[in-house]
Amino acid sequence: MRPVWKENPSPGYQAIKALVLGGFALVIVIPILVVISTSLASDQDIIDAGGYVLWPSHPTIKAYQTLFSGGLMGRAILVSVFVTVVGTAIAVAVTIALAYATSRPVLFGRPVLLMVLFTLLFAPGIIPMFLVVKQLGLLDSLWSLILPGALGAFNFVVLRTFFMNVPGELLESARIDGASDFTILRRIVMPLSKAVIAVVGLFYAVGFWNAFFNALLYLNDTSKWPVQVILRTYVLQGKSLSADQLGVEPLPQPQSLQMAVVVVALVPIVLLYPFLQRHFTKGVITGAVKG
Amino acid sequence: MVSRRRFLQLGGAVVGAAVAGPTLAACGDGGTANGGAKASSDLALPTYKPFEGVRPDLAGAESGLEPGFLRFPSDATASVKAPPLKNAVTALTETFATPPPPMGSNPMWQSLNSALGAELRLTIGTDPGYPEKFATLLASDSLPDLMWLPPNQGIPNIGPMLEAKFQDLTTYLSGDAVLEYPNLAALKPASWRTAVVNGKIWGAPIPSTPFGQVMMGNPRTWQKVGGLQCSTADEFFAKCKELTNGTNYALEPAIINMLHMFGEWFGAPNGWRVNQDRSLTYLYETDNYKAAVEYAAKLWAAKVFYPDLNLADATPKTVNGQIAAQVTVGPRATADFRAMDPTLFVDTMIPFGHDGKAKPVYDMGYGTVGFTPFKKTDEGRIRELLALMDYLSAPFGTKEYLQKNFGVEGQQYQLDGQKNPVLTKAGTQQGPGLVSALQIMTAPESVIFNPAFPEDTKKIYATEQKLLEHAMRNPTAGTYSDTSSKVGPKLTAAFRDTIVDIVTGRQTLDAYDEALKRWKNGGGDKMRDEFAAVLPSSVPVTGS
Amino acid sequence: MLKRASSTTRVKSGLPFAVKWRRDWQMVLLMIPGVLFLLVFFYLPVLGNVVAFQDFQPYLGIMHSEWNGLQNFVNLYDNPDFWDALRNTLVLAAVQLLLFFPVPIGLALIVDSLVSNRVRRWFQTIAYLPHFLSWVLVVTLFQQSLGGAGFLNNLLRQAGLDPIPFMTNPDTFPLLVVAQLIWKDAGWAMIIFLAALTTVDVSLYEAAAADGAGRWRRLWHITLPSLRTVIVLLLILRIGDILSVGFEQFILQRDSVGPGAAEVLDTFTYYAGVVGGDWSSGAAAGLAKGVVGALLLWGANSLAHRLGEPGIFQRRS
Repeated sequence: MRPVWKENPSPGYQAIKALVLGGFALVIVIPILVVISTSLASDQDIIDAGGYVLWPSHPTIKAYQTLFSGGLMGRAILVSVFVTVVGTAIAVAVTIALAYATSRPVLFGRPVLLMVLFTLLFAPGIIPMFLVVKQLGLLDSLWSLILPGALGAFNFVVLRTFFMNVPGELLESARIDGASDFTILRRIVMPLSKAVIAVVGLFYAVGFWNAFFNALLYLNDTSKWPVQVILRTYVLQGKSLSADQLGVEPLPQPQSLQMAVVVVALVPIVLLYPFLQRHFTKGVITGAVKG
Repeated sequence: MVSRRRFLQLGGAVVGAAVAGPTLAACGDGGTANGGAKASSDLALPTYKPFEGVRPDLAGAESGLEPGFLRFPSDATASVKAPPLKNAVTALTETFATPPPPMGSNPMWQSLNSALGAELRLTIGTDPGYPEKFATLLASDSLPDLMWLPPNQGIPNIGPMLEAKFQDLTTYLSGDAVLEYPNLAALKPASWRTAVVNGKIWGAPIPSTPFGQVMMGNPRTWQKVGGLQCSTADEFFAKCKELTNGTNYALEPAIINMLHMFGEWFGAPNGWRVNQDRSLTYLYETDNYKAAVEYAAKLWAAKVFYPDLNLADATPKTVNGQIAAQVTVGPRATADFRAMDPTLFVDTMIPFGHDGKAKPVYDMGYGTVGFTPFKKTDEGRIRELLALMDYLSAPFGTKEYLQKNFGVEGQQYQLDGQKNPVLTKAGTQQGPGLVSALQIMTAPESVIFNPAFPEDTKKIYATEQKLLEHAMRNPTAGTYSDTSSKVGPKLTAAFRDTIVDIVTGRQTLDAYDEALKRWKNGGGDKMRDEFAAVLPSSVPVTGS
Repeated sequence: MLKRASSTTRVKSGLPFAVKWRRDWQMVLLMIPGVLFLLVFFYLPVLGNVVAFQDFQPYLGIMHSEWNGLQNFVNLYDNPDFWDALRNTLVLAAVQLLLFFPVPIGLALIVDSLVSNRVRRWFQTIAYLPHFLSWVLVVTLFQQSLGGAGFLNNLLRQAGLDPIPFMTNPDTFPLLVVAQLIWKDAGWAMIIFLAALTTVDVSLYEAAAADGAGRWRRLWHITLPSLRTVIVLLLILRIGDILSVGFEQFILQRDSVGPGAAEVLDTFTYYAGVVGGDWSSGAAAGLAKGVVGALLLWGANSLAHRLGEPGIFQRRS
């Protein structure tokens, strides 16, 4: 619904807006369509097109059947979902706590803030990180994928900035009413920052979902590997078998497998987005501030 | 997409190159980390005793010619007397297929374990990440019993590393000592050189095809211009121009690989040239290679290369005719095209003299994919691990080979009409990841075998014979240069940048000498001296 | 419009520790989990960067590898290719800042002005998709459409025109890179601005409209100021990270435009150090980048303060 105060748009303005958004969407949709089409293309389609297919004339789900045969993928999806859900929950909680605690001038606030900012600039090496994970006994445990990613400096800085934007009067009056810092965080700051918390949660979730390198280094047990690691290896299948190794059933073309891999990695995380969008409604703050 | 190339590269030529892959850049030319200053002369390589249990349909030869099998030997013999293991063994390896279901839910793996006598616990790395995984395990001092050591993959200073952490196996393998492990004795001396560093043997080598890169073309495309095979560079140039029109192009845009082919026609050496006075000249220093660069630039200017240098995989385009010719890992790669189009058998170009008179060369490949050293341990354990390597290196046609590659009949494989083993559905799920991981850490000498297309085996065999007429091996293979191992890959990468610039017209040919000077000063000269100092007397002077 | 947190409410510097502690102990408690994570998973392993001053060998470990002082840094400094790569990096970063950075803001503003919720949702979901495609795929897709044998150039050829070398021209490479970046990440980067826009008080628009402020004046006086803090913040973060313009995107296209245009610091470091397992050179390059980043971050932050913005790190009040 158009708010009453908003004037009706001029046709010219309307057209420019439609052109920009429509053009942008089109430029994205067509390549994505190529990805999906290729994943569903038959061998013949791929050879005819010399690789990528705009529209499969003989659609087949062979590539997806190959991905999900063998039972490895089902387990990997569970692992990834677990790591993503638990990891995001922990990371968001830790980040909220730290961002709130440093968003006001309090004891130890500045040194701790500096500590976090430092992580923006330098990175620990692979080997020392491995040694730490090993010393903590986290090798071959899913926690090795979760704990090292529990605090991202970028997310922290963003969240903290939004927390600093919460009106001071609001907090002050709550304090006068005798509210503790915990209560203020839970009752005032967090509800006012729902949208940005959703965004930070999304950033973390995407990070956990896409991560694969730590799994390669820290997990020896292939049954604990997340989806991304498995998916990466499918790209090689077929080419890696010698001629005498080929089985009864021919494997799908590498192109369709690769694109099926892209689709499988994409779908779960894309499904997440609409749930977050609902926090992006305007005017949340209005009621709270005035009420 | 990047990864596949690295896999192909592992089995590929030493001089061969990659265009796009980060990991690939690590495969430098001279960086073979084997041999050693005093190595080659003092050490007695393991005695070579070929396996006599099966008779190939087409006989192999010492020259590198691979034996051909038209079908799988009907009564597989056992090559090992008893199960090799009493205790579980851990190993770090890499898979180039989808990782296998874990041991607990993988009947094929379990059946291998019972055949071995104890559990074989594999830590399976994937690409990318293997060199990092290797380094972290090394640094954390939690080494598994066996660790596959890939050649030229970003693991430097192999000599001191082996001395510090791994077991010297010389006394167990040198000379006749190896005869205790017949399948290891069936590995060729050329393969064993890979596993020799500082004059000591550090593990069993992993043979792969000894053939290097070749150019392959779709005969349906080339038939219009009288076939792929040419006898002069000018003829090739003319054919390429004729084949290029509209959206069809003559050549795959892998410039360095193509240049490798052209170099062979122009008589450029495989890595190094051994001069009459036994001094060495590097590939880049020869006029032959420079001429090949100039020729490639001419082809590029004629727009016969497919115009997108980033093309990940030319195979489908070669199959459908959009690209006429591409470079593959070796003569057996015909199977890659068959896999896409069962009616297509691609032609392989036999190198020819650029002017129809000069002597061409054919660069043989590295021939192995590294070796697998053992963690330092006691004699009993060493013998147990050697027995395991012996089992896993069982030659084509043996019971152990079947068990390792195909599992159990009726479960992971069945016999087709010609009595060839083919994987069942269960086999294709349990097998490839496991087999790939096992093959990369242990392997017998390679054979030609295309069960579905026995005719291909004959044709490939014939191609290999023709290639061998021009065969040249890298004279420094099996020797070691510290500088090459340290800065070789870096220098090669820098020089190749300039070459690609020249070929694609971003720089003129004048830049060649400047880049060569940088290569020499940056370590090339030092490399030459180091290699020349350890050049084995058995290496012949390079003919020209 | 919201006011920024008032810093006057609590701090009276000079209060005794015990008083501060009694006042702030809950806040300190909230810091503990985060600080613990940082100590264990960042500060402990980051000490491993001392290998930048060593000739580090994994089989020897940090304890037994040889120290070589500043040699790794000297090697970096002495290499003319390093300076070329630095120049390319700065040029690309500047072009990115100029041409990429404003795009998500513009998109967010347009999306925010949409009335239909359906259109908003659809557009956001679509715009966010490409972020999840790998660079390999993005480059491939660009090649399929703009490459020498790509869709557009084939059309041009059919029309009898000369193909345009979008993907291989070193001079226009920065523009290509930015176009790829916009395609892949503009929709993703838009999200954070959308979140910031939710904090705008709708009643302000209402009041402004009642006062006769038109669309553009409302945009200028209400919407943009409310995004200002976030924009400045992201700008500072980007400037602090200016020496990283991406690795994969460049290494994938390095051959097609040549290292003269596509060699950036990260690819240089890769070829000069990481190829061949040179861990020390890699660490040295990382440290050097971090120091430069720290200076830039500090500079950008101070500038933000001059402009009256909080930035990412506040001066003591």
